Amino acid sequence: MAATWKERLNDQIDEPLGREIDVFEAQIELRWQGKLEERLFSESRLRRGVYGQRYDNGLRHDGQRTQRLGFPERPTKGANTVWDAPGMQRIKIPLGRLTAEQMDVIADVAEEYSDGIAHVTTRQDLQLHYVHIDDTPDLMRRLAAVGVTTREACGNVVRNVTACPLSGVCQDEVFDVTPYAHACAYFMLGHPDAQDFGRKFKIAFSGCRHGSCALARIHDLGAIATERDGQRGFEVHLGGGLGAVPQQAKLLDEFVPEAEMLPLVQAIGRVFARLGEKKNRQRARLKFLVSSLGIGELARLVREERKVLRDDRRWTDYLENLQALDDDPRSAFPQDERTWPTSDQTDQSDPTDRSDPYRDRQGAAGDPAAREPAAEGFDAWRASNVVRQRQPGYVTATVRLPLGDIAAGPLRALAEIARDLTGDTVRTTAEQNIVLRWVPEADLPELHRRLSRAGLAAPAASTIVDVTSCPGTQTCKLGISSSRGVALAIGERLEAKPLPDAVRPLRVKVSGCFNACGQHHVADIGLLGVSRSVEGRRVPHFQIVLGGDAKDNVASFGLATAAVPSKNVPAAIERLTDLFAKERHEGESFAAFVQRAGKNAVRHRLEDLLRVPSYEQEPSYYSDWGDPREYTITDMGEGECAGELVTATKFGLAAAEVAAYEAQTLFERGELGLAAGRAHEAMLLAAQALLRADSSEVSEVPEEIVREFRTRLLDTGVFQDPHVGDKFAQYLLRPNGAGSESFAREKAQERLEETMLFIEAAHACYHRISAQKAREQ
Amino acid sequence: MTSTLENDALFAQRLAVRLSADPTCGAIAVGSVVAAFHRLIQARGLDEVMIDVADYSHVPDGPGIVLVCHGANYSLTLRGQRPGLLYQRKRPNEGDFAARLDRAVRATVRAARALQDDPELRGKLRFVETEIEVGANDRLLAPCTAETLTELRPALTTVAERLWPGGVELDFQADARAAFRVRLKRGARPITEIPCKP
Repeated sequence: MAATWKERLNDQIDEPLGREIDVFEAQIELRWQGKLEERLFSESRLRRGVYGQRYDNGLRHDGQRTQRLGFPERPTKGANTVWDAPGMQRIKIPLGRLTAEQMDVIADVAEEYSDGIAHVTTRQDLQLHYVHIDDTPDLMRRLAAVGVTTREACGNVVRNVTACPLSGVCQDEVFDVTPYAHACAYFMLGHPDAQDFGRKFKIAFSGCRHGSCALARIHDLGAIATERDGQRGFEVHLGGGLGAVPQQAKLLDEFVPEAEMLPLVQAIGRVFARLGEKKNRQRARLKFLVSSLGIGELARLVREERKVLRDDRRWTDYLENLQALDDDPRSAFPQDERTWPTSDQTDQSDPTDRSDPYRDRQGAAGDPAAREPAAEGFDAWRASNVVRQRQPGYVTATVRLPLGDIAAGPLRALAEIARDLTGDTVRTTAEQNIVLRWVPEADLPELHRRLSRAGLAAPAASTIVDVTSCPGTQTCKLGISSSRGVALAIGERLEAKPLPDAVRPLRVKVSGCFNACGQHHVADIGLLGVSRSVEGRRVPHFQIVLGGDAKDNVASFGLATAAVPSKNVPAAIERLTDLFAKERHEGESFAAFVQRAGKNAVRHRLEDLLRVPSYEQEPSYYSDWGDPREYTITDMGEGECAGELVTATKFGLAAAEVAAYEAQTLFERGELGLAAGRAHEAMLLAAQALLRADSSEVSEVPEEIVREFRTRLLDTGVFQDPHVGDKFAQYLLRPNGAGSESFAREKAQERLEETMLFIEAAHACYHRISAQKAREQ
Repeated sequence: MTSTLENDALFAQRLAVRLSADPTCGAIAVGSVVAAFHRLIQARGLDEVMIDVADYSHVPDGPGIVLVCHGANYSLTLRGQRPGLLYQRKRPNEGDFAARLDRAVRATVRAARALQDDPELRGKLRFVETEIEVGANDRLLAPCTAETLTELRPALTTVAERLWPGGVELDFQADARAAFRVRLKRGARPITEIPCKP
């Protein structure tokens, strides 16, 4: 048999991470054998970032008719989800922070398991598309070996924790939020108090109040850096979110001291898990709890919850070394032979001066005298893609990725550049780009040359032509219109002619449906995919949403103005921007201009573009951008954003079954003592799961689990089976004697059978508990 | 723990085949290729479970336009340094390495012919017929090393001999970061006599 990635990477993966991937692989096997129920498996894979994709129900409209795709007959991996249909693998990138080594591995797995493209999302994650589920365990192992996890990238959990991509180097930040956001991400990852949510929970950290990088106030929890009496802390907002009905987060607390931040997040998680909606998925986000209780009452409940939390060292341990994640090359590479500018080199130059500003500067790329002159396009790229850091002598350069896509080869080239010219790390951004931080300013020509060679030196980053878009109909099951197609068409149209200065900084964001993954509400010009019926045929359209303002961590949301046929959208955007350039008042923002002009007046200017010619006159209107098929919405499927509602107890019982399965595998390999030990662990997991039905405070220590099981479930009669009494409970309570190498085969087999009976009894017990709760409600 | 067994490269399943586009081809619109792939799906023109078309023509050095199938992806790049048709196997196939590679080459050639016969591409798209690139997207079993080449040479010989009986030139460059690739060109000498460049 050939080598496996599991064998190869065994000693390079942190034990808990490796164990989780092994469990997921076992769950795949159990699902294949029909031993894991569909809904449970579905949420399990979502919690590992393994997401569905368009056409995964096995059906696709080919432009003429809906065809069955002809996948092999296999078990499903979710409701109406064919096993072999390719899916999306979301990779969690906390704060969007990636090392060069991680980029190399992501490039490799994109090339080997995906279509060769890594896609940056609007929440700083990465996504690979067209991945087969059977490949995901190895894909995860390769990522885990370089410290990247896909855990809880999807599902009803704490999603990727995001932060300003310039944190630590930004001119305007109050302080660097990097260590706080990082600590929060890993504290809440897999935290028991965050496993029983009705919906997902998104967190963002912002380094300043007025910026638009972190979009803190559209998150379930937005933390904005602030200081009081010289002490660091956060202004905390709760209950923001986009979707069909966007809501700005409400101020929970003006100042939460840094040491109180993690316990606060934990307390909020517990309140959300306890009181958040679980049945109606459409009203299960935290924003609905904020609306129903009011922020005042929610704040009171959170304060009460905070009081009963048990102390946890992780709340404050990280504060002792806030520089741990510092990517300042002066401290990261103190012995490096490269020359890094020092902080006492005060930069006196005029940032607009283009007269050979690099001639005598120090940089990591080597002797200034040996450097080549700047390449073509350098000035335009520098003007739009480069900003000075607060550290003199250093700049941050944005790599503009069209639609957030980067191919494997250029991603490797970028990793090499990060190694050679910066502090080894990059950050992804909510605008679906990548920023290189800590570039010595003297190295900019060299950086531009190398980016050009890799095809990554496109100018106009973070301008109107750098359009943000969700995946839309390309891969998303919920997509209504082609957001990516229209985004490219807009960019191409606007880039074809010189843009007025007032128009250049505007932002366009596109969502393929009302779920708003493209964050269209917060753009100057947002687009929301819809469809319209014209003469009995469907026509793709976009609602033009005007007046959003991302500044101040989202000051306002835009409102729909007119539904424009997709094919007219680029022309409509051009007309709107021309109108703005001509009729705006000096210094007037786009949102203010729309407000002053009035939506009706603006709509009136677009009137001719709202009409759809007949199919006979112009059939191109009846297909979408980049897709010659006649447009239809029959390919839409059921989304997985909401995940499956699976309680922590059900997850725990599933984990017990996986452990029991592993015990059987060990038994079959003749490792009898280990098999009995794993079987006992399976019973402990089942007992622990049952204890979670009433409290999230459950010990991880075996003796304490057994003690609690006895007092809370057995002595109270809860575990008593109506027919066999406490017989099965005794299997857990008696000394297990496992681990011994001399464990007899017969004895080991007996333990395995007892374990299965105990787990079955636990399921039955949970059924009784659930039924009792339902009756009480 | 790593495998002590040799010949791991022969187990590689993610085989890749590339046909270079003829540099004398005329300009071809991206939309024409997208439409051609969609027509292939409608007509079920390849022996594959064909799923969808993904257009990555906007991505520098990317896969171009991809016909996504269950067993393999077919991607056609028109611009950049290496225009051509790339076949990348995704799901395991039966048979030994030579048989699997042979099937991959045949599938690539079939797809190339289907594209050349497409009403919008006919007369515009041509492929170089005197060389082919083969390889594996599997850095575990088939890293891009001289050892892998040595291991796979008999299988490569079998396939090359079928393409160009009598003589083949081989071009290989070891690269620790890249996926394994070998370029086979019609030549004068049997592939087995050509020395391997590390």
